[in-house]
Amino acid sequence: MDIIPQIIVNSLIAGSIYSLVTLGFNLVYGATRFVNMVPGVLAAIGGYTVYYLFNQLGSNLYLSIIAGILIAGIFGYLSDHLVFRKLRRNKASNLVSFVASLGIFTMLQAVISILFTSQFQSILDVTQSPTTYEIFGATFTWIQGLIFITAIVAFIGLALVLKKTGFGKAVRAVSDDEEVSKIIGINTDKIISWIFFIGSCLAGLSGIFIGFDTGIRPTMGLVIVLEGATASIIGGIGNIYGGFLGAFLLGFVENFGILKISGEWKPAISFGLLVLFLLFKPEGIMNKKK
Amino acid sequence: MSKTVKIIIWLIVIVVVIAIGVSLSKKGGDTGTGPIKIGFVGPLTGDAAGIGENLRAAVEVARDEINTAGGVKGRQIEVIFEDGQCDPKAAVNAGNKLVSVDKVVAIVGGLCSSETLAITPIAEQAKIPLVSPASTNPKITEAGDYIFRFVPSDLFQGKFAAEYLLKTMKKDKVGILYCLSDWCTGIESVFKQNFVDGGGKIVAEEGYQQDSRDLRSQITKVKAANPDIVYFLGYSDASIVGLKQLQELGVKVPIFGGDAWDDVKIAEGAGKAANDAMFSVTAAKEYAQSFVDAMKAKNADKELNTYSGRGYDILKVFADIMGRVGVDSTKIKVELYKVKDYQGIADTYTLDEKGDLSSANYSIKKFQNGKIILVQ
Amino acid sequence: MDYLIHLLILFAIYAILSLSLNLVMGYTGLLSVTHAAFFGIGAYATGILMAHAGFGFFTSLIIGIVLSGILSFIIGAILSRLSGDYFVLGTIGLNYLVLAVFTNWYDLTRGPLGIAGIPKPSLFGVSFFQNNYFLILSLAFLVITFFISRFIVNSSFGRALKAIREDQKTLQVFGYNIFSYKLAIFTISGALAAIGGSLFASYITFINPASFDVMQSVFILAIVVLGGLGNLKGSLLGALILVAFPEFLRFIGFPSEIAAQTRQAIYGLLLVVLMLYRPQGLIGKYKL
Repeated sequence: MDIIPQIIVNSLIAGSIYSLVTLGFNLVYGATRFVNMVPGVLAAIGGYTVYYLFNQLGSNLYLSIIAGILIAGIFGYLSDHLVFRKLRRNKASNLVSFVASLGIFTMLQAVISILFTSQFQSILDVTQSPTTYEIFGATFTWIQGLIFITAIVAFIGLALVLKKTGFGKAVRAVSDDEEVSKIIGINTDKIISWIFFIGSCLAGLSGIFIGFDTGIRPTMGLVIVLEGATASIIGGIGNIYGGFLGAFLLGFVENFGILKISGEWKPAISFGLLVLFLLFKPEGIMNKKK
Repeated sequence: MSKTVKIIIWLIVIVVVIAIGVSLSKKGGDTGTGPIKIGFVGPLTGDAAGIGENLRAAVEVARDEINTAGGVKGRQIEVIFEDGQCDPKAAVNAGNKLVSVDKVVAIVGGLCSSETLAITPIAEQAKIPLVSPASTNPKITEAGDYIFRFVPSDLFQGKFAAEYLLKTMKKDKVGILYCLSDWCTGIESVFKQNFVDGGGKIVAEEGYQQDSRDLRSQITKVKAANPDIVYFLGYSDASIVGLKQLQELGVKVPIFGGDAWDDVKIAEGAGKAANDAMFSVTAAKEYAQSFVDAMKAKNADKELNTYSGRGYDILKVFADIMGRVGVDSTKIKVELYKVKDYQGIADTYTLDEKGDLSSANYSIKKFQNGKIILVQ
Repeated sequence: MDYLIHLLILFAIYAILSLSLNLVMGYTGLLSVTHAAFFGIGAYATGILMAHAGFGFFTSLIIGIVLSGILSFIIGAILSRLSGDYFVLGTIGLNYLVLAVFTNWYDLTRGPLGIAGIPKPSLFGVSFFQNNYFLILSLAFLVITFFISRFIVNSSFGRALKAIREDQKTLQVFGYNIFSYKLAIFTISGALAAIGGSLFASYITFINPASFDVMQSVFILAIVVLGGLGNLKGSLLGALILVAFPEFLRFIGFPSEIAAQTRQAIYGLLLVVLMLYRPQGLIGKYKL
């Protein structure tokens, strides 16, 4: 069937986008241990920053992208600094942090709607046709190719940082056990701030890519973060290798799934998968059962 | 407090609320003096907002002309514009407000069939005449005694499109891409029926959510079925994205759409991806220069489409009827059924016993380099 | 004044929703972000039965309650093995699944096209078309829901629930079947939410899947958290504040769209502030 190569390509692209969110999500979850909805709206913030700077103000494209990533990172950092750190001090339960993240998510999403209207926007110049490539009968655009490459680079980069650098070791220590890390002198707050920043930058980047690939709208964040959470759980939450794997797995399952069933059911497939894993294999594929 | 006391308190609260409610809800409605209120529901934001805003401008032009000429029996016309967002939920809120709060005597709208189908029950129950300038879903024919439209039902358009594809373009294997909203589903089923009856084959049929902006899964499936033409039904925003994605995914066969494509924003938004895509649309007369100038004064001449003129015509018809029989809604309704050979600026209207137009003429247009041009 | 009546009707509907959610969250400590699903079942039952099958309001209402009860029983049973974060994620996932069914079971629900023209209830020939009569009906249901909730809360069943909230492990030691208590209250909560759904469907006359998504569940959650977990009157208070305010904004002239977004921004902010400084809400008895 000549539709298969195209589906594979579609799956790889979807997986790449999910993996950026998942990398960030897992990084933060590893350190803070609660389900955080904020990366969803950070993706939107990343996308809208680029939209604002590039489409509305006419700035340089590459600078806008960098700005988008950084601004998402800053918002993420602020969410930790202003809200989550305090909750950690108060020894608040995971549920409280979750609800707080839900609050931040809702609030920022609404602000974006007010500032930019709820309309769908596309970022790229529409009068040029994007260059497309063909591989085994499937087509993809150069943007999609770029997304794929970036996902791989980000993953490898992050994995290397975590394994080889001192910073990375500190991150792993904090993820393993915050209390003990404090005892051996790691400034856990600072490490967690960095984790938030990096994770948020990745989330922002995923939003920017989605913007290039299809477009942006204020409500884009919810599905993104839920897919990210699903991928994380499937792959093994808190484990960035697992997250990466889970993201691509999700991409494949969704895209092959709709071969047989109408495309409308796509989100249902992901969330069905989420529920199944939560019930039967909550530690995910790559984690060992605790 | 004992339980009995609590129950008594609750009962008192309820009685008080009833009393307030009954005393404060006036019957309202037109009081015979002051401006005559007419409602408008159409997408001012969201999908089809380009067409909606243009429609609003046209209705304003009509209103201004009527009022400058002295209004209706000395009273000015006031049009209350509500945003339907091409979404039935928003339309319902708009309709409810117009009927219950503003107490309008007639409504121009909706534009999208989903808007119209959502508010017709409200208008019908409140006995307020409603005339749509653009909603073509076949179900509207049966929507009620007070429901009319100045645009033909898609029973005609679906047939026309099927015949055009089969006989003129000589394509008999169609892949259908359609949005899951009233207008798309309505015309799709008529088209399907007629295409198959005419000997054609439906090789793919993929639906997508009206607010979806990623149609690639559906397009992939359509492409794999090897159609020789793609029938793509959608409102502006999804169409822009869809046309681009059709190009991205390498779909090379011709693309044909429906009347919602009469929005120049699609040509602008999709750029090259839209070139040569064609669509059927209700034919309109060439607009009188005075109308075009008036629209230009409102900066609305670039997006003139077949519906703007109809909105203008509806308001003029309302004014004409009210000048003869006054503002009683039932009387207005009776007069609407009598509309015969009315020479509007967009069309000549004759309404049948169901409040529909009795005949239909269609044009074929296409997108070319950011513009819409007439083909036949 | 029509606006006041409109506000009060919406208040009544959301109060019913938040009361029912409070039963689960405030008294059992389970964080559920799927309440909109039950809201939706009640609404769709009423919509489909009244608009497409000609049933009366009260019949549809009862059917809706039963269906919603069944669904919440099933969902509760599925989710009962989960706790904490995973329970929450599970509820969100299930909300999405129910939403997907609303959206895709086209033949039954007309999918995204929604169901229009849902009539108002009539009882013994008296039609509730006039909004003031509908308000009385809504308030009557609110009162019923409130008393049912209070009855549950004050009963020995309710006391056991509160004990579960405080210390689940101890109760298990004493032989209480935690699982069936949680399941029972989850079922009751879902069934009550259906009442709100039926009223909603009949009042707005049009429903589509978009009204029952995760953000709607979050909104109901916000009302409960604001008013206070574990205090029924708190749910009424929360509903009053969060429902009345944005409608008020619309009334004084904010365009509809901005009013809705502003409301969202405000309750988002409210959730954050509450979690930081007052997790028990305004008059709640329990912190998450």
